[in-house]
Amino acid sequence: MKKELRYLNSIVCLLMLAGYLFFTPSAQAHIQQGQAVSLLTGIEHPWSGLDHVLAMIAVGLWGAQLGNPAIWILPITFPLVMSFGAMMGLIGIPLPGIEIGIAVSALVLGIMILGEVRPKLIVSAIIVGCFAIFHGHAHGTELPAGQSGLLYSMGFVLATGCLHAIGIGIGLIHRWPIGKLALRGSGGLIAAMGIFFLWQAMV
Amino acid sequence: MKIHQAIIARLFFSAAAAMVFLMPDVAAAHLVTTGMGPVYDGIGHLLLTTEDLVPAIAVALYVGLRGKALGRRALFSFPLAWLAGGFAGLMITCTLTFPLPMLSFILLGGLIAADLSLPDNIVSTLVIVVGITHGFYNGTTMEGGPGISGLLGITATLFVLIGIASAFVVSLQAAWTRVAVRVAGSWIAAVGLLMLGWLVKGAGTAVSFFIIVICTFFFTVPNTQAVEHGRLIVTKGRMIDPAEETVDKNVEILIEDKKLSLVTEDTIAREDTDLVVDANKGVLECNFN
Repeated sequence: MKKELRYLNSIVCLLMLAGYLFFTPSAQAHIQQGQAVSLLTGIEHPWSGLDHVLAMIAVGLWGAQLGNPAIWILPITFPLVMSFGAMMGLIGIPLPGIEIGIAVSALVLGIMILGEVRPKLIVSAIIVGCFAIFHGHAHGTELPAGQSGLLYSMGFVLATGCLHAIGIGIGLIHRWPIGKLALRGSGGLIAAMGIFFLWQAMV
Repeated sequence: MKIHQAIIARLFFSAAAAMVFLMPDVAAAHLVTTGMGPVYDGIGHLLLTTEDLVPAIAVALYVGLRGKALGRRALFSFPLAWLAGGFAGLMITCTLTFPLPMLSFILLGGLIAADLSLPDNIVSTLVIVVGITHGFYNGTTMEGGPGISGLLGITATLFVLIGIASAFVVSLQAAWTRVAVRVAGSWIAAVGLLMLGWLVKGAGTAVSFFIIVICTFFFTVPNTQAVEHGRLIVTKGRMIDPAEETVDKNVEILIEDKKLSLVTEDTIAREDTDLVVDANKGVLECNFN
């Protein structure tokens, strides 16, 4: 009985929350227009390309495979350096071979997971950081005009963080022997996809 | 039976509550007006303005990471500093263009991400400076709006916000939970960096020059890669005739999809242009005919 009521309370809370999220307050014109659109565009952007998605999930997977402290150092490094790359793109500093760099990121990170490579923390952070520059630059040059930069950036960073979190979440299977194998297998899959992206970028 | 009745009653209640929230309100396309007076307008202003809300949360996270004593200090010093800055802003009529939120995002986000242990007095000073500056910015924008009452609303909200958020962080014991806070800090700093990019986008300012110098320090960037962009404009090019039959001309060049699209003495519209390159009187040798 009590259990049922507890479930019911949860449902009530969720319904209230859903209702609150649909709440439409008055328009407030002094706040920039298109804020919600900007946030949603920012959230959507990192998910728009499979190469980006795989590389960012791979960062989380590799971090989980390496364990503490890489599990949190890598996901901190990636968004920070990625923002730096995006900033370069925004101010118009060109970067050679962006698409190739992104494809190579999926390939290298996949190989790292496949081989369960354990370099020093600083080396793994540098590897992730270098690739983050390419990903960030690609996003930076594609930031749409006329939208709220702040909200777009927040959505963009949040979505990237969520992709890392998904990678870390999946990577937690590493604690079981079968999980270790599955993780290495997923690394192989990511590396294979990286080769495909590389081939696409080259032709 | 009674349980089922209770379930149905609660579901109806939830549906009714959801319906109330779903009712569309009349759009009031002017200053923040909650319809409940200037104090609530101030509260609404803070909670709806990410440029102020995120730095306030960042302050709470940072002092929370630094422990109880600093958290307690910030609980009072931060809202009061904001209030003092706000009063000053109300008295001074000016339009501020300094990118304060961006700096706050980078500074506070960086401190949280690094979990940097600064001396207590420096942390307190930093908290007060952030409070005063953001308060000042708020004050300058509130003169024609909710005014002092609005500032009081903001101050009260900050007190609650700092109290709840910093106490929450102080209470975190497990290592991963503190790491989660640091990850949040890194995201705030990352957003700040992106704001910096937006700020200097396409502007030939001293700031962008400074950034370019820093970037150049880390990366060698060949200019030839500019052709990767879809629509590229080259400005201040000089077109000369090898036969020297006609005078030189200053031109702008439009390259679209890696193909030369237009060479003109006029200014090419910058809309939808991916990259504008200053040729700095570089020479384009060609036949004028």
